[in-house]
Amino acid sequence: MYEESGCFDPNAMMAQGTEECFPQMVSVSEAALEAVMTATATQSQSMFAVENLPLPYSYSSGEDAAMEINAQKPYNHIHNLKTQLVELANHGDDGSSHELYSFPLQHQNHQFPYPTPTPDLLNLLHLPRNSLENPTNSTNISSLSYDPFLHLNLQPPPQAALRELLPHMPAPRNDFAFEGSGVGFHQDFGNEFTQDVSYVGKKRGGKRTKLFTSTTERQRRVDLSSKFDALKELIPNPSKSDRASVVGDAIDYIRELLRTVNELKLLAEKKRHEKQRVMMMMRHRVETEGESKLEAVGDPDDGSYSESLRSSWIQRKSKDTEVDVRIVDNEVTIKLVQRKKVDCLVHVSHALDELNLDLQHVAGGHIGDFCSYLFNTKICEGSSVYASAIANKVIEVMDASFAAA
Amino acid sequence: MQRMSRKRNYDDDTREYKSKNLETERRRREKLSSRLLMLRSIMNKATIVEDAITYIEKLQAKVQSLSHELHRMEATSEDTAETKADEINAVEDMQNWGIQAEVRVAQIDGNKLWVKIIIEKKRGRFSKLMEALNNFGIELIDTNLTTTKGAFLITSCIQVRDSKNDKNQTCFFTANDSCFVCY
Repeated sequence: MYEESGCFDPNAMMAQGTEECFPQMVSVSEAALEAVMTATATQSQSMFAVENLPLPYSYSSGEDAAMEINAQKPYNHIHNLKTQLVELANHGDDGSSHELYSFPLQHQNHQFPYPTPTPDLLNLLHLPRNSLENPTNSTNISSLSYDPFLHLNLQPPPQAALRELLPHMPAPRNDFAFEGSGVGFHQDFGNEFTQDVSYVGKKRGGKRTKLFTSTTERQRRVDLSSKFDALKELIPNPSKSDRASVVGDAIDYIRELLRTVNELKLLAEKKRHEKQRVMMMMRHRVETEGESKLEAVGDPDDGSYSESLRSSWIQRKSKDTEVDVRIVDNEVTIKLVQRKKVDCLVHVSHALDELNLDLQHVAGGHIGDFCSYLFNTKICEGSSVYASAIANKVIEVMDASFAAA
Repeated sequence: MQRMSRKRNYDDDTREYKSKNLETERRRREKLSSRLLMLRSIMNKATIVEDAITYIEKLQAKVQSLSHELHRMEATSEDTAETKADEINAVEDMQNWGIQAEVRVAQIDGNKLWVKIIIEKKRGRFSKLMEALNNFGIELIDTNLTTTKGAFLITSCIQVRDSKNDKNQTCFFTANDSCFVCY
């Protein structure tokens, strides 16, 4: 297997450094890669025609795509270099900076039987690393940070592609990138940038230059981040601080609030019916003295009594405790997981008594550092406790016991 | 539900009227939903976040007011009579089915014991039991409680907190004692 590098002139490399010459990035599936490797192994000299390679703007979309670096050779240099396997750690599991190229030298001990002719060259192939923020929705926008063909003096990339690449700012611009934004937002980005961008270029080392932004842009960004903070304030127990999860938590919280509102409305309605029925009964009792109390009274409200099944569920987390409360009709199921071993059963059973919940079944125990319990309870007749009240109370009791301990 | 009732009313004679209306209704609804979609698509992220904030605050206020209202209504109604009745039933149930209250303790290994307790199901019994066991320095490792026929069946694997090994006897007695404490 031979490595062809386009402008790869070892002498030139020494002089200029590696920034000018970039081997192509080709994304192929691992299987294809294997095939290619074995195929090329049998040939002494092989040239990879340009046609076999995907377009320069095809972006990798999978995780851990094994990349084979092959370079074109416009200058007709053929060099014997070891083929390099580059792993592209892709896509924001962690949203942190990603290594675009692992240092080729790391793979020296890989399976390739061919000796490395010039280790010095490999040293020089220490490719620049770019830290990028990967949008979580990237399928067609990858962590491509530069144009590998730039040195080939191809035409400049189309405006659209450039605008798509614009959101990929270098790491310092954390406050800008709106991760997880829908596709609809790219429109917005483009518009903003056509106004404010004066220069986007590439310096040596492949790093992007900062965008020239006017004060309005900065102002807008500050406003946006303050709004995000305001949103974060409203959410109970925000776990992570990155914007995507704040929005995700906000979505869950809104749904939970809607459920609670519906539940409360239902309870209020039931209560009202209950009261009316009691009043009817009392009126009837007054009218018909001496008759048995338990005589059925024709209740006009019964027809329109809400037939919907009451159901709701709430999840709450605190530092050491997780609570999941589900209510179906008058049965409440509470799942409790606690980080430390405390005498949680004592406290929880007290809390349940205070909430007027009737224990039907309890199961659980210590698991490692946690204790986990499942409570099946029934709501006592006439009680109008609701899901989030239960969840909040349990968490409160647990946190109090932790504080006391 | 409301739509269903409307259908019921129009069912018989106004069929033609309904179908003409249905078409226009449907068209109107589709127009509205597509316009709403367009509106949502042109919102920029700042306004979306703003709207989310206002909506959340509105919902929170609603929850507050509804729960206050519910609380007020709750204060005026009477529940206690009913729960007492339930409890009396429980005791009767247990007697009817011939279930005896009991405490059984067996040693598993080391300072681990297995406990089986049957007591009458009454409000607060379980918490009293838990509290008593806790006060005696007993830690419940795995616990199971189930309710049937007016009785609580509690089984648990327990351990004495301070790990002196000859505490087994005390465990047995304390388990018994705590059950009696509940009564």
